[in-house]
Amino acid sequence: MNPAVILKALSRRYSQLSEIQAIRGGYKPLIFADYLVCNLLNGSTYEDYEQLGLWRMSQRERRGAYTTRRVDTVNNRYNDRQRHLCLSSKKAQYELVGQHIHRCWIPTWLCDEEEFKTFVSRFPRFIVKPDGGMMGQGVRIIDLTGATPGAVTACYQQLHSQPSHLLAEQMLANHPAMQFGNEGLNTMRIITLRHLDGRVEVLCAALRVGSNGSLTDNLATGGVAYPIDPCTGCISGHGRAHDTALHVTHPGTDKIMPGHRIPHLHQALDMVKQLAADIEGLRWIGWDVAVTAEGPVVIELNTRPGCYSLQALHPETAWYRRIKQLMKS
Amino acid sequence: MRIIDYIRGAKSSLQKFSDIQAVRGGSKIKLLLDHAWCHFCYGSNIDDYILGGMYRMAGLERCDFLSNDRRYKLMAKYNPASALPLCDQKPQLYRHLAAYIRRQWCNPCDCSYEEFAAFAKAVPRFLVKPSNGSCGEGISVADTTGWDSTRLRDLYQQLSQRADRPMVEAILHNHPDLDLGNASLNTLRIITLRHLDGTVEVVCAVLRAGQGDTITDNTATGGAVYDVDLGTGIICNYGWTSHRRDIVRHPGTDIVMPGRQVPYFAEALDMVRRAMAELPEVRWIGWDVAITPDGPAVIEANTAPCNHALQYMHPDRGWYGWVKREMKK
Repeated sequence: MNPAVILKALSRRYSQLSEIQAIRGGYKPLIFADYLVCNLLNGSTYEDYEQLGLWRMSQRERRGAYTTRRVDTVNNRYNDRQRHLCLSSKKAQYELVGQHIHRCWIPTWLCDEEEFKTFVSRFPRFIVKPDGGMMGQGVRIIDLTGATPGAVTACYQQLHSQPSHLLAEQMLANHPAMQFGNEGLNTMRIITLRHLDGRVEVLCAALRVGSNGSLTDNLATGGVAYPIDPCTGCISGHGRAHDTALHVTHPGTDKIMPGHRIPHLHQALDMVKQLAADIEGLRWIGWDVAVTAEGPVVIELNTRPGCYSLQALHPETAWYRRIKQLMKS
Repeated sequence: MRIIDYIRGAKSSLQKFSDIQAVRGGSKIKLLLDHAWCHFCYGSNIDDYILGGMYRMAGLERCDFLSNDRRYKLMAKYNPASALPLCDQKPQLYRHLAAYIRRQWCNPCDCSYEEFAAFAKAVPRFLVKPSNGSCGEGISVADTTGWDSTRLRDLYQQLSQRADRPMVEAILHNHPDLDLGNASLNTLRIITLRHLDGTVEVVCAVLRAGQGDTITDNTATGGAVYDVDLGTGIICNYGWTSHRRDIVRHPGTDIVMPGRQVPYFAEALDMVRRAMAELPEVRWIGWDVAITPDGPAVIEANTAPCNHALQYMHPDRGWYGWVKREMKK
């Protein structure tokens, strides 16, 4: 690796520490040293250090925190590698989950022009996603309403020839109670863990809502995550975005989020529990589930769900330690 | 205090350490030693260490933690001793802030029997409170409905001779929106700070709600505490009791607390700002404010408010350093 690039990255991190220093005081070089130690020992990125509150934790608590590197550790230890690699393709996921997808889709790199035209005739406005994409990258909407046959053909040829395989999917609409003034589909991230005896436990559920006109609800694209209480089905606390701010009203709207009831939550939890019990080789899954007017729909499953919905929204628990404990039972 | 009470207290404290140990692992002896270290260095008590999450914190964070001893230090520094009786002695406070008390009261130690009898006639069921009590200790309800003058005079003599100089006051009722199926009056704890230039800042507000038949809302008597968003007056996060930090439904009921609007919240904030202006010597007060069907009413003013409303409820920062910095502005 180029030393100049490393130095530039370190220098950027150093300047970012001003925000932490403003809150906690102390000397910036010491905070920087602490960040580097935390990175080495606990596998935390700068975002983890800041947003998961690692800078406030004792060494013992840091050892138990679920950080970015530990996301991979958990995945490698408890999920079958082949299964994980296979399911990094959305096409493979959709085939595995079957009818719980509740939407039409076609792999544009495999289908022929006639199949694509039939799909477009049914769904002239559709969503396009990279087959192996993550964090909402590369997701866009294509609208071929009223397009000429030539335009449809041109679109097919363009999608078909993309080196990053693209899936074309029917667009889903949020349940009326899941509309928060944003454009995209809002999804729940539900994390399930399968015990040794086959029992499936839901560790947490969080609602992610997009903002700033973003098409996706991922935190990386400006979304906000709100914790959901699985017993009551209500949003139970502040929302957190990719900064340290806490949100009571959803950004850009006057919609008050805590206390908001998620429709069909128990149905969604039962669905992912059943699916998690049936999928061989994966003990640790993060499910993205949308709620439409008809009920819950699986959007995708993640074999290495990020640490944010657990460690940032529920900071009282040292999740890495807890996951290891639960996996033994 | 009897020896048996000490033994019970020690047993309950050890149980709290065992609960933490069960979650985070490690040695209980180390935890106890760490607690002793925190007590020595940062003036924390067992609640600071466990409920306030001090056991999770790094050394630098502990330096900024608003601990039990530190709140008394702040009080000693910023609330002059000459002003304390006005706040801590309820009869004096009630006289001084008569416009904000909004209930009938009388002090049997300072009034004639006739005045007491007139009060009891107007308010036959009333609260008996020690003049200088805290944490809901020593509060009882007296019901003089149908009493003859002999019984009433006996009660008057008994109250006027008590060492804790109790006062009697009308029982206020909760606003219907704050009726949480419990017997006690549920109050807001609002913390205000006066800057050097005289401007009053509301630092935080929490709702304290009792549980079951207890007549006070303190956590010491089983109550729960909920964070209230200053901008909207909405309960915006999980609540906590002295045993749990993840309360969504109010204990003993099905009432979901996050998202609940506190009525007359803006009026309550405005009222404590005006009340603070009438106590010009005092710079740091924790107000207990009830919300009745007719609006907010000051219950008491605490010159050394417990740190649960601020430090335990808002653990994202150490408040000791923050308060010291703000006091210099």
